[in-house]
Amino acid sequence: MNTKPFRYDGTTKFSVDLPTTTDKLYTDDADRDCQLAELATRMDQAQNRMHAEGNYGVLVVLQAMDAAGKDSSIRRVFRGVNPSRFMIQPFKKPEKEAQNHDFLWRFWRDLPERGMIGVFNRSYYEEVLVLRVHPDRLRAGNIPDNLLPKDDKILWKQRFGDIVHFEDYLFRNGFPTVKLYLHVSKEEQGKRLVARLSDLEKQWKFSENDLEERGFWPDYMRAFADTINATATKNNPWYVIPSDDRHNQQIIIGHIVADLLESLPTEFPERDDKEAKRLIKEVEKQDGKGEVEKCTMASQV
Amino acid sequence: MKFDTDQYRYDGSKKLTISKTPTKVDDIYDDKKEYQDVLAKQAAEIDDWQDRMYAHNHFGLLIVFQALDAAGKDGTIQKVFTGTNPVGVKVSSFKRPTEQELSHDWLWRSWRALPERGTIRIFNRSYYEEVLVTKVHPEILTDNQRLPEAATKDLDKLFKQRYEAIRDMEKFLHINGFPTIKFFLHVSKKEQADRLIARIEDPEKNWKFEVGDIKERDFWNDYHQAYEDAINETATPHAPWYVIPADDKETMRLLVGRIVADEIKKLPIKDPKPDITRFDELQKMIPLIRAQ
Repeated sequence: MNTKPFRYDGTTKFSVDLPTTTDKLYTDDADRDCQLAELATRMDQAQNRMHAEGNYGVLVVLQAMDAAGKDSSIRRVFRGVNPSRFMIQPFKKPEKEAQNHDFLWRFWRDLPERGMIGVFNRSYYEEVLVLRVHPDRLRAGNIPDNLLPKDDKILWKQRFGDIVHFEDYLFRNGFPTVKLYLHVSKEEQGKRLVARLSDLEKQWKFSENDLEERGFWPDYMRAFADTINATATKNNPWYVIPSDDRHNQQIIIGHIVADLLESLPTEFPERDDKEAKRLIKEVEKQDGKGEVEKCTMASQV
Repeated sequence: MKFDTDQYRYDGSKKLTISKTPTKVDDIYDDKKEYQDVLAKQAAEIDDWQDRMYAHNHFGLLIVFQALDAAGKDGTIQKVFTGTNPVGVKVSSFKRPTEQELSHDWLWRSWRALPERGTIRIFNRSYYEEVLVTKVHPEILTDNQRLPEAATKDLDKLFKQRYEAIRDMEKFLHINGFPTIKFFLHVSKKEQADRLIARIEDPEKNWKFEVGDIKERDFWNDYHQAYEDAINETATPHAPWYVIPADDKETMRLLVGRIVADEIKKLPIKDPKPDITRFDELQKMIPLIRAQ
């Protein structure tokens, strides 16, 4: 699958008018499940190699408006990946402890190790999205007034710069970042929120806050467009995923992550044949090899 | 398919004698296809119950895997828990302690990695190494752990105190809503040799092999004694041990999957009660959303 049309690496501008739908990529549910299983196998194999070599780690960042499918995508796309080498970290509103540090602090703490895939469900991008829409929250925070530019334009430019530098630094250390914006239409979000409200079993997922933020839709769209355009780089690109169809969304995400893992120049560590032969002999010399063990338990079935 | 997992359970009501405990039992599946079907069904069961545990948000589950090298810890964790929502399962692999970890007491690094409510946390090796590898190689205690000299004078006493500390910790966790299940994957020495050789031969697995693994094989009986002691000292109804025959990987995984599913189901998990008043209240918002 060609995922280039969804890719933003600084060479083209992203505009929020971009469609939130795309051609259907699956025939039915069974086909979708089968495609996701294949993608999971590809991810798992590539990651196995990455883990064995132990040099690269990958950070996947998910950002979106509420009800765009962040949780369901993570669940569907990554369920087939070895849980030992996979870390998912959801980020909520910062707690007091995090506020007592710089804005990247809590994200540094949860970065993936080499050999691992880390997934951030929301991320440091909230610092230029939700705060961009509500700058009063940032100004009411703990950053010394004299260090906070009075001009909003300069303030956000600085933060975009901080993020670009942070991701560049990670990339140079062996940690590429891939950023996914799940692009859902306001109409589709409305439908999903109504569905949540109308379903007794899903109502706990609903928060009044979702509705409030929906009122700021145009501001969020502008914040997303500016953020994506300011932080999309060749090494750490953004992908804008048409998300009105959840199944399409999941398949596209699977392809992007599988392609990225396979594109890393990782190799299984080389084996020293002579040493291997010596070691096998050593194991064979030890007692135990060749002994016949008796089964002492009766049949189970 | 139904199979009896009780015989593998140690909760203090019977003693484990490791030399009389099988590493191999009759296969509990007919063919590859049946194995995969049962494994997938169990994974779906674990996924479903983890989901409910998450929604209830009262309990968290700690699952400990201990075994000698090449007994199949990594593969079992991968096969049994692939299929569970990755948000709900986290794996902590404990390797040789770092300098920072050694600068603390021996339970410190484990506390930091305990599960949150609603989630499963898997320990691939654990605080049990502190009564296993350190028992086989007590020089670790004096050379690396920087314990007060008086504490290492009487090793019997030291390990007795450690068992007690583990029992207390697991009881504390249980009272707070975090039961522990512990697996010892019991492999024969011959099967281990075959697997180590396979590791050395397979270019995709060769990296997993450590020369130290061969050396540790010479301490086989000491390790078994240490396991037997540790299991008998720390098997309780709220934190049971399961000793799983590990010579056949597929049988091992099916047993582990079955036990995990059964243990989660034992928890008094309640589905969240829908709040009808709030539900009615929320219905008023629907026209608002449509108008936005």
